[in-house]
Amino acid sequence: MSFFASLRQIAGGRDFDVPLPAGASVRDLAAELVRRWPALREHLFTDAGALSRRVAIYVDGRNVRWLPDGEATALSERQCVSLIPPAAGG
Amino acid sequence: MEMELRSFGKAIVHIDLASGETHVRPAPADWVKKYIGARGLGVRYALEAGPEVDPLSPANRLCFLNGPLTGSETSMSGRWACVTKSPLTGTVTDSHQGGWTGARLRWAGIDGLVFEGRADRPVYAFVEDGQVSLRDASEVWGKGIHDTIAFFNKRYGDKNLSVCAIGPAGENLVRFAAWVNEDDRAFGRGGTGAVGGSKNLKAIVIRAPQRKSQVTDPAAWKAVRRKAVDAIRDEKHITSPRKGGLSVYGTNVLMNIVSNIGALGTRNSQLTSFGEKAEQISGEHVQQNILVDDPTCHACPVACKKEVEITEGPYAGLRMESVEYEPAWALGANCDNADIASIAKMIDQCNDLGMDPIELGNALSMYMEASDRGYVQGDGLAWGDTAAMVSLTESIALRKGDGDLLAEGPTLAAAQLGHGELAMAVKGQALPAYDPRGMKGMGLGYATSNRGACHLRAYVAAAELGVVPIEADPLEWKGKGALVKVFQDLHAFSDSLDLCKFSAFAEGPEEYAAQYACAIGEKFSAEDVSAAGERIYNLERYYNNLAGFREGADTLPERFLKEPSTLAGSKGHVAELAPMLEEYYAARGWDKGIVPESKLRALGIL
Repeated sequence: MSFFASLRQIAGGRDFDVPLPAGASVRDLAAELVRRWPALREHLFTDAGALSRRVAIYVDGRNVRWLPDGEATALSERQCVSLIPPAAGG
Repeated sequence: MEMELRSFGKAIVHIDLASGETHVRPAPADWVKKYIGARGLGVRYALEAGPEVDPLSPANRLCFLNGPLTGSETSMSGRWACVTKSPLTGTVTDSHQGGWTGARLRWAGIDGLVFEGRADRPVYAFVEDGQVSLRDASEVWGKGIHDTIAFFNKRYGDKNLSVCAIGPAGENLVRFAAWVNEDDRAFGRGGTGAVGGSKNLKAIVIRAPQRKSQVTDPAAWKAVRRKAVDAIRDEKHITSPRKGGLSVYGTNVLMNIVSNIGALGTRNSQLTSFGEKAEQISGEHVQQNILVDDPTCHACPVACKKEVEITEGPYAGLRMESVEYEPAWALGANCDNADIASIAKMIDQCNDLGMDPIELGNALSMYMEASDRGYVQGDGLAWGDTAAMVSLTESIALRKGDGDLLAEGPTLAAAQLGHGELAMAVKGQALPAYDPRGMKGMGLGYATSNRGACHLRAYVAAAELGVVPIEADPLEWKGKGALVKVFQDLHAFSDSLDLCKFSAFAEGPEEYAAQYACAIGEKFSAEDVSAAGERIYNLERYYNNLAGFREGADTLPERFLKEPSTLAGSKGHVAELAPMLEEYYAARGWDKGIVPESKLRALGIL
């Protein structure tokens, strides 16, 4: 699990191992991240409990928004997940 | 004294460098109405000089133009444009500069400067109180831009003074030479500095105190500006001061991200990711290790510039701005260089010698690949050899040794080496920092850009990275034709106002239209924004068609079409240019890249 830009300040670093049960999805990962770093809640979830579009979750360099199963995408052991706040310009 | 915004276009000063005569001639009202200012108006002036003109001949026009909002209280309005025929591409080109120089020209009572001819000795233009005079520049000819600015600050005092100058690269007609103001803001792309050098024009020196705007409805003017600045400050936007990614990390916040998705050209775009090494040249690394200040431009709360200080190694003591994403990529990942100190050094060299760091980085990376493949006689240049890169950068500006070849830019230099396929360029201008295999809309934007490969003609990255309401999958080609047109037209308008491109992260056609309408005291709608943007984009294309850019000119280097990405999120992808172009031409109403006469008439260009 890698954090970028301002999200590193919340996580306290760049790379972390985040253990998950077999068959866990991206949404499960987001919930685990909030459990571990509560300050991420406002970035990752809307008030209604849906995954926010403010922060992008990338699995092996692909924004899950564009994957067929979206936030239900199942994660496997060797995948690299990145959490990226809105960024552009240059 | 106040400046009346609705009078924009009336104070265009034409300077004949051969005779030394200057004349104030208002821009035709019809031109201002159709082409707005800055970029659009400049292209119209360039068209009048003739698209067949030799870019380095006296007949080429060199236009420095404000937009109708430049220097006003509008947020992000510290921009002005340099427009001319490019010696790098042969297209019409426009480049934009932040800082305070454009604003100061407006405060001096002038909307634009149009230079023609060639002075018989080095001169600079001194601007004050609505007057322009040509003065002897022999004392600064040959000097770097930092020393040139220091010279004029000493001569005239630095209070209310702005200096925009070329360096040795412009004097030596390096095809990607730039104009730089206030030590570090550049008209970077397209080789406008070489046009200045060809005219013996070293600098523009402007002295003027700040002036307030005068509009017909001050209350409405205040309200529309407030709405725009509130959007910029909104924490949900990346422009949010001291909170948004652009403000905290600068543009280089993108380095890790774009590498992660597989759109960061590496080793002359042979690869699409810099892997773990991206971190060492990233915005996060800069912010944590070498950042010392966050300078800003006129009327901008964002402060995206990042001033750094190097404290160790061969460049210790260097304090410079700004480590931006584009040059950090061009001189970093693209050259397999993970040393941020050397990157800062070369960016500062570009600021002093007056060169475009994107083109420089691509020239070096092309030369590195050519050396690697055994196409270069002699030692050539090794990947990531920072000392040699720094040395060669100076040689390019001075056209010494191997530098003379690379001063032609990567396209002509690669052709001279007999391996044009190594130049990662479109229409002669090198690619910026988004690999078309990993961000397909950006690839189409490069291919169809009117000034050669450019990320700023259509910043589709905003959609492909998901920071604006229109979102798009970066690896999907379908739909990109229409999307690129939308961005091209919007940017053509904002470049003509002239507002910073980053305003588009928080503002849209409604905000642009409201501010422009208040400035000129006339009705102007969001639909008018799109219409004017489309007209300006077609005007540029018309110029290029007349200059010889016909079917087939809108393309990408073969590498992006035939060599699939092997890394990160884009693994296995190429740029599907042909179907995207088909979509795009249909959206534009063009015939294989050529604007039909019927379209030109419908848009009011003919």
